Parts: sequence; structure tokens; C-alpha cells
Amino acid sequence: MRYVIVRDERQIPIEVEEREGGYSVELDGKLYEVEGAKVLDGLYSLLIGGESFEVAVHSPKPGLYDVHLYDGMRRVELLSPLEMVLRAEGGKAHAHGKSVRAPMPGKVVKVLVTEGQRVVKGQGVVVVEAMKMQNELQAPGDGVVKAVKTKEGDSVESGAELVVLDDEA
Amino acid sequence: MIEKVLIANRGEIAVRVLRALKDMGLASVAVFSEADRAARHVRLADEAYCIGPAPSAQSYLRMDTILEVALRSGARAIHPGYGFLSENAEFSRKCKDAGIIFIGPPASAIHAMGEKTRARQIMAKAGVPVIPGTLQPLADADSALEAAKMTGYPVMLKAAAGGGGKGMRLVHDSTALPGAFRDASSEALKSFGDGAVYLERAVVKPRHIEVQILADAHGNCVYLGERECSIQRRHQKVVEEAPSPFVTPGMRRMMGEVAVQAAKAVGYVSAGTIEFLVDQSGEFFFMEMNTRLQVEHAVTEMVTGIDLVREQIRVAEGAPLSLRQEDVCIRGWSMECRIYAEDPLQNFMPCPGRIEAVRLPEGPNVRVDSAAFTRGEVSMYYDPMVAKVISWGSDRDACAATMNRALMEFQIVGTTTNRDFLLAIVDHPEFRRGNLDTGFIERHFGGPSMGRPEPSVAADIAAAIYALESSRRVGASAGPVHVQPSAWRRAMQGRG
Repeated sequence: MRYVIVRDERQIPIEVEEREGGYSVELDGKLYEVEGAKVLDGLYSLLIGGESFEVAVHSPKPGLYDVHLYDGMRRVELLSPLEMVLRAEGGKAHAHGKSVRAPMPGKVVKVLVTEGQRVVKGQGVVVVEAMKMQNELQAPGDGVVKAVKTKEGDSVESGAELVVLDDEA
Repeated sequence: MIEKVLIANRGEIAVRVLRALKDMGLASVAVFSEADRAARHVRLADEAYCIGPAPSAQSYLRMDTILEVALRSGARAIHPGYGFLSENAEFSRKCKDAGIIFIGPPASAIHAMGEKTRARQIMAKAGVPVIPGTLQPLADADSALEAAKMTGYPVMLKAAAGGGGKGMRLVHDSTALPGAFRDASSEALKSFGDGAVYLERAVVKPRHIEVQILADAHGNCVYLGERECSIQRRHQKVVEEAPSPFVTPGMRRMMGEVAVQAAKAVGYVSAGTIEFLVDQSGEFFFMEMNTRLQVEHAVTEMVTGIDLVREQIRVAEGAPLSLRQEDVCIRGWSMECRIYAEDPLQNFMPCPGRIEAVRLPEGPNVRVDSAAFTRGEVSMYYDPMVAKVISWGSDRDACAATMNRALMEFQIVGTTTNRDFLLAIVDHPEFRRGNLDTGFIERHFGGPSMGRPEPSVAADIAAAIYALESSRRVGASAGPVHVQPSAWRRAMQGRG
């Protein structure tokens, strides 16, 4: 099966085939023979050229994989050919506008922008309080605030659209 | 005699207290909110009662409901843990009025230490060194300027009713002072309903070192050495250790004796902590007293062998302390890392959600205090701390190496944690050298977020294998599924 890893705006091909006792993996043109043992769903022991890895994998959403290794967690964006197509189509729909959404349920403490205001990537637009912590949500890119869909004091659900940006300056 | 204890708390500290009760052969009563029906502390307790909906104001902070459960269940005493009602003088008093033993200090001691300017006045009078500054809240920006002339710059503005860094401002010169005063005051008003602000000299590159004390109702008080808590992020402790790599035996005795003096000045009973700000020369100043069990109490337990919760309960019964000062001996080194469900790559945003799997570290010299479990929930209603990983070693290097190993073994799948951030701190050469101060994280891990980890071939391969298997599972879902339950899975099902 062929996949593509998306990292730093680069697409890295990876192909994995099951074989006796493991997998053959071609990653970015390099071949790896992997001995694999599945401990349980999402938990594997991998031997890659004799080097031993214990990995736990969890997919928080399609195309995204949290891979836990002893030395740290890696978030890998890996897409199947079908997911690549879906993503390309989805991308078109969003090409003329980005929005800032609530990453979790919480309360809006402060709205830092007004409609028509120009913002730059990384600029704080809304402060949401959840779990006793205040979190500043930032603009995903440069643009102009098209609509502010929340106000201070609002309780918001996870995923709620708070601010709509237009990247047409 | 106390035979049954109600724990007015949740999470890891409720589990910690429950374990002490079981060790002592005492019966336990848990209380829980509707969100915590399946929580660890509910399942571990002998009895458990629901006290209201998820928001803590409607459950864990409801004094009358909790007292009612205590009376109904026949609990003689209440352990408040930390947070919630633990430093609430009114609750301590209400317990007493209801004939219930509050496992903690008397209301008068909580009250005396509860408001920072009042505490400073009492401490200054008792001969405890305090940072030069105003003992009274400041009336306006002009009196702040006047006071700063006396203490010298830089100065720190602090909310009188504050904590957790809210209403605090560091000011380097007189031009910035009036604006900072207004900001601190309005922030204090918003956070605590009280805009009172005081001022003191800012200690440059300070260490946060605190002393654990234990006092009984018969006038005995001992100090159990210090904890270094300089590794903080936004004034919240992240890594703690005991002893402090900075403190010499002579300094330990001096700080300990001052801490005992401070506790005696307010008629303290139970376990308590005196926090000091220590400058680079070793001069130390009283910051505040925490009139409760601390999150980081475990490192003191590891190096002294004293079970602080057990001592709290004994003292609450009226028993004299089971040890004298000369019986206290510090052996080896201990560190604690606080695992939070938060994302260091996204400005430490809290990450509530379902835990798919937990693996806790095991083996020699490792202790874990946690209430997390597989298929459990990190609730958005409460503190996002999911576990404390505690290590012990015969010396500081051995302790840090064991902490590294324990953190590597620690795994939570499903929600993001700060584990990798903790690992980076513990492995940092300056941390290993013991060069700590409260600016450590800001200096070495500056910027709002931590750097993204290097890509790993093993991780890429694992993601692809998992994706391949998932696609097969979806494709084959119509047919019969043959899953051989592994020993590991059976073990996990029996756990948590």
C-alpha cells in the first residue's frame, strides 16, 4: 500500500507491504525490512535492522497519527491516495477564507479583533478559558477579519467557529 | 479515635489519601461529582456518595453537602487534599462546629496565612525574614512610587489575595510603575474580586525553595528538610526535588528553624509548607505558607521515609508527633515530574479528552501517584494534571537518570501530555548541573512553545503499518473477527 507523509510542506512517499513475520517498507526511496509483532491494537514491537522499538499508535483523526516512542511522541501526517484526493477537494472549498475555531469547550474571555481588522499569522484573535487556563487562539495565516461570531462571556462548544478570516487582503 | 475518613477531593490526591487510609486500616468515604462517577477514587473507597454536578462550585466546593455526607456516613474526620476546600478557613471552622475533625490546621492558622500582606506582617513580627516592601496594600500609583524608592528597583507588584501569578507584575523602573500598578490591580480585581496590590523588591534570578514542617497540637514542630521548586512555568511548578542542590547542611538548619518559627507564630498544627525565595547569595525570604498538603509532598516522603498523610491523621487525632527533630534524616535524592494533559507544541493548551491507554512506569525507585486509567477521561472541569512521576536515587545523578527512565516508560495514548517537555527538562545539561532558578524554563525553553521533535524513521514506519492495518480492519468488518486476546490485554483489562 502506498501512502504519502506530509511534513514541512513536503510529500514523502512511503510504501508498506506485509510479509512473513513483518513488513517491507520503502520510505523516501530507502528500503527497510521490519520485523513486527503486534502486542495489541495500536501497540507494536518493531525490529528495524536489529534496533528495537516499542511504538503505540493512535489516530486522533483521519490522516493524523500520534506515534509514541520512548524518546518522544511524533505526530505523523500520513495520507492514503484516497485521502489525498479528498483533501485536495476540501482544500478548494476553504481556499477563500479561514476560520479560528474553539479547540475545546470553554468560555470566551476576550475578543482581540474587530471586523475589518488586518491580522498576521500567529496573531492572537480570541482568548478562551478552559480547565482554569486561558488560551490565546491565533490567526492561522495573514488576512482580514471578515466576521466575529462570538463575544466575551460566550460559552462555546468544541469546533465552534469564532472568527472568520478572509485571506484576500 | 478516627476510624473512618471522608476525602473531600478527587484525582490523584484523593487516591493518595485513600492509600494512606488503607495502610492504616481506616475506612474511607469518597465524594464525587457526576463527571467522576467511574473515577479511581470512587472505586478504591469503601463508600462513595455523589455530591452534585461536574462544575466544582456545585460539587467539590459545596461545604454543607460534604459535611452532610460525613455525618450521614459516620466519618469522624475529613481530609481536604489540596486545592478545593483545603485552605478554606470557613470550612475548617464548619467542620469543628459539626463535630468533625478537619485534617489540617485550625481555622485561625489558615486565616492568618491566607491573606499575603497579613501573613507578611505576622512573619516580620515573629522575626522571619521577609522581602523588603510594603506590608500594606498600596492606595494608588503614587504610593507605589514612594514605596519603590525605599525598596529599590526592580520591584514586584503582587495581588494581596492572589496566587498562581495573577495580578503580578515585574517593574524595572519608575516610568513603568504607574501603568503596571493599574494593570496588576485590575487583574487582581478580576481574578480574586479584590484589587488590593502590594509591592516588594524583586529578587533577581531567585530560587523557589520551600520547607516542609509537621506540627502537633502539643506545641511540637519539626522541619523535614526542603524542596527545590524553581522549575516553574508561569509560576506553576513543573519539576520538584528534595533536597535542593543549592542548600548546604548549615543553610538547611537555618531555613528549617525559621520555618518552625513561622509555623509556631500562627499556632500551626498538621503538615504545612513555608515557601522561601532564595537569592544567589543564599539569603532567603519568606514568601508564603501553604496551609495544606502540597502536590509535591511525595519527594519529601521519599527522602525522609515519613508518610505525611499518616502523620496528618495521627496529629488530627490529637496524638503527639511520632518523631523528634533529631530523628529526621535525609537519605538520597528524589524528584517529581508533573504530567499534565497539555500540548507543549501548542502553547501548552490543555488537552481534555479520552485516554485510550495508560502505561505507568514501574521498577526500582519509581513511584507514581495518578488517577488516570485506560478509557478514562481527562475532564475539562478540573485540573489537567494526570499523574506525578516520582523517582529516588542514592544521589542527584542517579535520581535524574531514574527519572529519565521512568518518563520514557510513561505513556498516555489518546490525549497529548507534556511528557516530552519534562524529559527535555530532566535531560538538560543545566538541570543536571543543578543550575536552577525560577527563570529556567523561560531561558532554556524560551518562546511560547517547545521545538518540534526530530522526525523518526521508526515513527513513520509505525504510522504506515498502523494505517495499513486500519484500512484492512475497515474492509474486513463484515466478516468474523478473530482476535486472540493477548496476556498484555488481559492484564490491562484487570487494571485501573
